[in-house]
Amino acid sequence: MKKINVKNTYKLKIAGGPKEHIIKMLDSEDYGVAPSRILYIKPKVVVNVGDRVKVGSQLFFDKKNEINVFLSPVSGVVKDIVYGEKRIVQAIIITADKKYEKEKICDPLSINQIKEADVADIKSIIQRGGLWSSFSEYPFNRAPDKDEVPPSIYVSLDNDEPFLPESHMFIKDNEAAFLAGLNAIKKICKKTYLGMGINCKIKDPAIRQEATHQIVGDYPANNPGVLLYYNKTSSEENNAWGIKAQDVIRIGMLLNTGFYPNKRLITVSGSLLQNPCYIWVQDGLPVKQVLTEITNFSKIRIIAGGALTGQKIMEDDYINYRDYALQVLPEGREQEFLHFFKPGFDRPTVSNTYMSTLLKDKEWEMNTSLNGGHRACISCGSCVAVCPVETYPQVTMKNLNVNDIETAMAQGVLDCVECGLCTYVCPSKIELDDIVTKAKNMIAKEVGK
Amino acid sequence: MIKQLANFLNDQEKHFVKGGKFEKFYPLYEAGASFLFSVKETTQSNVHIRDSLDTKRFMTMVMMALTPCIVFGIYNSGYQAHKAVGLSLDLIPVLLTGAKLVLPLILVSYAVGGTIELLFAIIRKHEINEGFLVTGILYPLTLPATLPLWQAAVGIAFGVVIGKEVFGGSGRNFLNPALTARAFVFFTYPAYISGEVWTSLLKGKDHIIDGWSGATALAVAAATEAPIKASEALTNAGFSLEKSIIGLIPGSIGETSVILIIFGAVFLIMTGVGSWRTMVGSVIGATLMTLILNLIAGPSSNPFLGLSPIWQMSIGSFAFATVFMATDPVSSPSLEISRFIYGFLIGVLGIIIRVINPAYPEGWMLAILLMNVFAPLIDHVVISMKTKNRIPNVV
Repeated sequence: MKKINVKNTYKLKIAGGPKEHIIKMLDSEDYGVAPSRILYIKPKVVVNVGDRVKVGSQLFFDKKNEINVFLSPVSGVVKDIVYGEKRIVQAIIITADKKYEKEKICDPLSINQIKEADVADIKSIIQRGGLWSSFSEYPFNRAPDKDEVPPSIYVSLDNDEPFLPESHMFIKDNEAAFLAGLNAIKKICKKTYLGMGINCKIKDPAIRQEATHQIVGDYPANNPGVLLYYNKTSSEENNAWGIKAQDVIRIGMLLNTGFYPNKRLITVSGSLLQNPCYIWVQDGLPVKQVLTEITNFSKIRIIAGGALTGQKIMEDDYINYRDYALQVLPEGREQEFLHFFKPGFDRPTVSNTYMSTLLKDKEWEMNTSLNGGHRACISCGSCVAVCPVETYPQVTMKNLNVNDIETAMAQGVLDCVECGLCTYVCPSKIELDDIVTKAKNMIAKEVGK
Repeated sequence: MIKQLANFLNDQEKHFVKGGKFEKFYPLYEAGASFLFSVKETTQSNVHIRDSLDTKRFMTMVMMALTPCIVFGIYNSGYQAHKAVGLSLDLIPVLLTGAKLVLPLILVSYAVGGTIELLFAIIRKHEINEGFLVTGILYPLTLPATLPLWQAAVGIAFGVVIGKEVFGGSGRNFLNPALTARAFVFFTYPAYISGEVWTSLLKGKDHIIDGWSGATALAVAAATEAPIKASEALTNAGFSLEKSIIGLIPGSIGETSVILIIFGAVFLIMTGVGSWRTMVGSVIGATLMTLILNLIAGPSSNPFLGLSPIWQMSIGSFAFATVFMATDPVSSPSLEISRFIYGFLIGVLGIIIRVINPAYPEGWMLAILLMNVFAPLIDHVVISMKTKNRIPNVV
């Protein structure tokens, strides 16, 4: 196992992390999926209101990449299709019949069958099984095209962003599925790398053995893109694919059972909750059903995903295809009088400019305040110090502001893993992640991705 | 009470946002409201939480590091004035005299510079940047206490307009605005600021003396003639090494006390606001250049060449410039390695200008301004070298 020391990472010490106990599955009348929340796709809905669907029936697909299909998490009747502005498909709502009738996608395959199966078959099952979009192709984070052959695939076992599920929690009882999924991925590409964080709590030797890299570093060291950056030896690997360990488990479940895996382990966390924990949920569960503790949804922010990369969602949204965490944070903070003259024992910071820096082990209750006004870049260098792929966000930002994309690319803008740390630390509150993501999307459009 | 003020300010916001009555004065509102209260803005991008450091705190840290120098500068100005005319050297009267000399300069600097900043903010529609809090205090600290106020006003006006605002305000300037202002005053009114007349004009009752003309340490060192050693000449003129380090000597307001400046440096480095690489680079550069000059120095050459590094770094404005001027992040290069090179070159150049060029009594202002101009080039070279090692990722 190779050891990788990731430079420029940062340990976010945030209060409200999930406790290690798992709540059993919750149930609901209506389930929903939100095509509009899946980035970079053009959804085409294939069901109508009133249609009967089973678990694993196709609901919609991506017009830009037709093998990228999305399946129904429950069986029942399509109750409503909600359109937003410009006929964006905001949600497809399904009334569950609680029977969980399942659409068969393939014959169940054992791990040995997977090892011997044809690559094309495996790919086809994953595509038909609605899990193709769990692969993301670097550098643009799109689902790969049908016939694309990846130079390599990167899997990260651990999540270090607050508060995505920890590996030992989601892998428990799913060891076989994970190994099955991993073997399927190895079929797709011989060069599959599995990164495992140094603090990984998984005991199972069968899984530990599979790891090819041990990763030392805080957030976002365990991002597959970071592993790619540290491991690649030539520019051919720039188009490698990445996948999360939880999605590997889902692929394993799909192959092992032959049915669409419609359950997942998510974390529900945030300093506003009394009992942050792990919950097994059915995909498509309404957010309100999960956040039973919260009665008043004003002045709070619900985040689907990590605190630095997640999507802002509303209380009437649903657990979507790529959500593995729900977080609830206070929206904004109380305005403080002359705050910048105070010692600031209550203000967490990366720098040493507040006294809070002396409280090394404290976990901070975060909120969504910008903590400062938008200003011009003062070249303080904070962003460069936390970039895990060693780019220069402030320089890149200035290059992109004058549309010098060539220079930005030469300096590594496409290596960006969109971890958001540069934006997090910026004292001028510049949305560096937005600027970089927009530029990457523009480049993607130009190259036809 | 404070809560009511916050609510009042929040209520007034509607007049200043787009479409409001005083839409044009939004920068003024923003500056005032965000000065008094932390912002109520929330995050809009996918990075939902943010670090607590903002530019206000950043600049406040510099102000805190400067405070000892400001207080001591006030004391020292009064002390020199009283000493010159033989008045009491007790703490209170000295401080009062010092305040009378220094505070008007600071006020003029803030008032004139601030007004210009505000005008530009309104016309160019950008926020008033906290960087001015620092510029407005750094500039008077580099002046002699005797400078006429109108000259100080003209200087800061030039510094803010040409050094900063014409390029788009703080963050987009490539020269240090405080030093631009200082350079303007230096070249425009050399008679008032060239290293000779430094001590205050304390008018006696009979108006016999308007001021006391005395040389600064640099003037003494530069005027020393062989075979006297420069260090001896300095000690004889009252600039012993200890005195120069403690700082009770004539000089610009903020530059004299090396000890307090080192205190500021430690504070800046500990908080991470000032780049230690720039400071260390500058010290190494200055030491190295001085040692080279020491080697060149012969018995008949200019004795200033033979002055040891510790002397060179204790007299004049080396410490102040290295700690507070060279570390300005905006006009420095942006990468840590380039900051080291930048500091080093400032050290080398500053000593060359100070010792070898007889036209200028001090070298740091010019060295830093020159290196400000080269800062983007240093960055460019460093980044080009580093990107060569990257595996290219282009389409």
